[in-house]
Amino acid sequence: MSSEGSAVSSRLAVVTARQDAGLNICLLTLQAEDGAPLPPATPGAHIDVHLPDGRSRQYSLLSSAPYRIAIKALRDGRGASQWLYDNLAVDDLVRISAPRNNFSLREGATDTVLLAGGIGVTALLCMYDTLSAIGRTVSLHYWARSQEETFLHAELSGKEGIHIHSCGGRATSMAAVMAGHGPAADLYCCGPERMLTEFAILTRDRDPQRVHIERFEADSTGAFPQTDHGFTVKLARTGTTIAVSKNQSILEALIQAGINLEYSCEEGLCGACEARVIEGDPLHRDSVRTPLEHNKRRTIMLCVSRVRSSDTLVLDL
Amino acid sequence: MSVKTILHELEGCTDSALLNDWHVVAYSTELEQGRLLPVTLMERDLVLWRSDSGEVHAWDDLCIHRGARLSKGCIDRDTVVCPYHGWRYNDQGNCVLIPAAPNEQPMKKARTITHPVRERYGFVWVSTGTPEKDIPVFPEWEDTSYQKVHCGPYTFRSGYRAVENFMDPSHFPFVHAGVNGIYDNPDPIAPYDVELTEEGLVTSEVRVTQPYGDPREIPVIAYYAYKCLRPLVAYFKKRLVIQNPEDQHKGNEDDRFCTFLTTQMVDQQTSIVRICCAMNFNPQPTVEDVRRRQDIVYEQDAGIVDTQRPERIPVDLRQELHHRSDLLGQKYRKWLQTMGITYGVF
Repeated sequence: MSSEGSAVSSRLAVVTARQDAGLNICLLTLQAEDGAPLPPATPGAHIDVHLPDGRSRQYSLLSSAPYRIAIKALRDGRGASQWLYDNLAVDDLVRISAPRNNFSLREGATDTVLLAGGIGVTALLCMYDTLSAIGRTVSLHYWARSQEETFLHAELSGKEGIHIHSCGGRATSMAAVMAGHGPAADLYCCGPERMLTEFAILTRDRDPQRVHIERFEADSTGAFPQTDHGFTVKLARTGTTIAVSKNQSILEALIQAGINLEYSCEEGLCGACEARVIEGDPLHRDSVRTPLEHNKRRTIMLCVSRVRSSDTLVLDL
Repeated sequence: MSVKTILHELEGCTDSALLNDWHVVAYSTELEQGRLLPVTLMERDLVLWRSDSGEVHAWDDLCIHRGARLSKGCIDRDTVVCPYHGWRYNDQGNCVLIPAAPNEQPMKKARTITHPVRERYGFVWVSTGTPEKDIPVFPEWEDTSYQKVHCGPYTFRSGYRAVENFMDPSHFPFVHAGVNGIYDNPDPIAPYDVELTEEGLVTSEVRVTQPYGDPREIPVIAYYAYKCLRPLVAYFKKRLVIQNPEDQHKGNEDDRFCTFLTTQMVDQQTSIVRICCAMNFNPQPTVEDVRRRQDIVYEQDAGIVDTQRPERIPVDLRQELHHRSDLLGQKYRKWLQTMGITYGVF
């Protein structure tokens, strides 16, 4: 999913329900903080969910009234989804963008085939619901690693036109599914990169107007906002003030100023340079602790943390 | 030259944090009556013996007269006899006979250099300074539902590296492949917490998969909770969950396996690890089964730990490279540094 249209306004939403929806998957219902209706959205739309550390991540809307999104925690535990999965509970506030749609549905199609891999199914379920409701021919083929990792397995497996496939070697292939649908069919695919590549190859000879891909952005720590700026760090114990430039870590600036510090990895992976914050609004970027934990403990990792505004950060050093 | 200067000459370590601490130097069972046991603690040579009263004594292994090793002598009528001129010392360390002047009361200064000594948990603990704290607590020792098995001794080069290794769960799949971890499928180590408490460094539980995690020889999921009680004493308690449904009858959810590990630094590059395992399984494994497994694991550890250079552990975290899964090791090194320890560290 692309991040175009970054000027879209954001608002606070409240989590009104949280439900387990498969292994490491939760289904969240969001409503506007003030109870007003959230902006309408078309099938295939997604919203940005903002994390307290400045990162954001896109999630497909399963429904738009109310907004429902599914979050799958990825195994490496470093990503934004993991954080949201671990931290969001009912009554929590979360900042979201208005919906955007780069994957819109041709509701007039006579035959629609939805091809989903893993959590990519969330981009297609709203389409399935919409087409089913208006009586169009639609089939949803969903490849999942195992039953327990299947999103809403019990609910989906009973529905007409939904086929859940395992990913094993003898499972139904995407090619076999597509062979059953002629050139008039509209094909939608959302899933991991490997599946999208295979889909692109299999649809080479089809009408591009009838082939729709939703790219599922990798969940990584690489999605930091590119809004870095310089700021000032004040060391409370000595009263020293040190300027941290835009291209420099706090750690680098302190070392340059001759401050003797413990550190090791310089990438936010080890925890050696943890320091206590006395004042300021830090931006956390390490994988040692979650931003929530950091905020509770009032700590940062000097090697990767920054400051949210251009304010001064006062450290217990 | 004063006596004090000679003692300084004989003493390898001058860190008060180490000198004023208790160190295990033997198993209680090694001290049979009538035996003089020489041991070395941080380059200081000591002699241990058990008097008729049943008490253990720890003295400098030297006769105040001419510095000969008392451990080369013998025990006769509840006195230690120096092999050189036959001076005899009673269990208080006082010389009671100088054979060259048999009718003379030996001078008051004719005393051995004695050290505080205690027996606890089946180990002999000595301090060559003035202990500031009691011997650390081994909670399962008094609990009769736990079977206790002493294992070792195991020889390592660096004592601190041996302790750090004991508290490191991420080496299991590699150093103990097939026993404590799976080489082809190593467990990711989830972030865990380390707190510095009155007791020492204490961690939250760390989860690992163990194909052969305890003497029952069945696959388990083990949850390790570590405590580093002193610079050279550490402990873990692991909670065991049996993996295979067909093995469930071999244990229950209260199953725990603990290890209390002690390290005697002989010098900066030689250490002796002695452990006591405690387990509450039902049925309990045999002592031989427990020892066989521990012998394998510690031998595998020593094979790697003894290759670590420098042998003196770097306590400045800028040396070597740390990861969050090594958090306990990082805190351990910082702790040693904060205590002002210089002996055996880089």
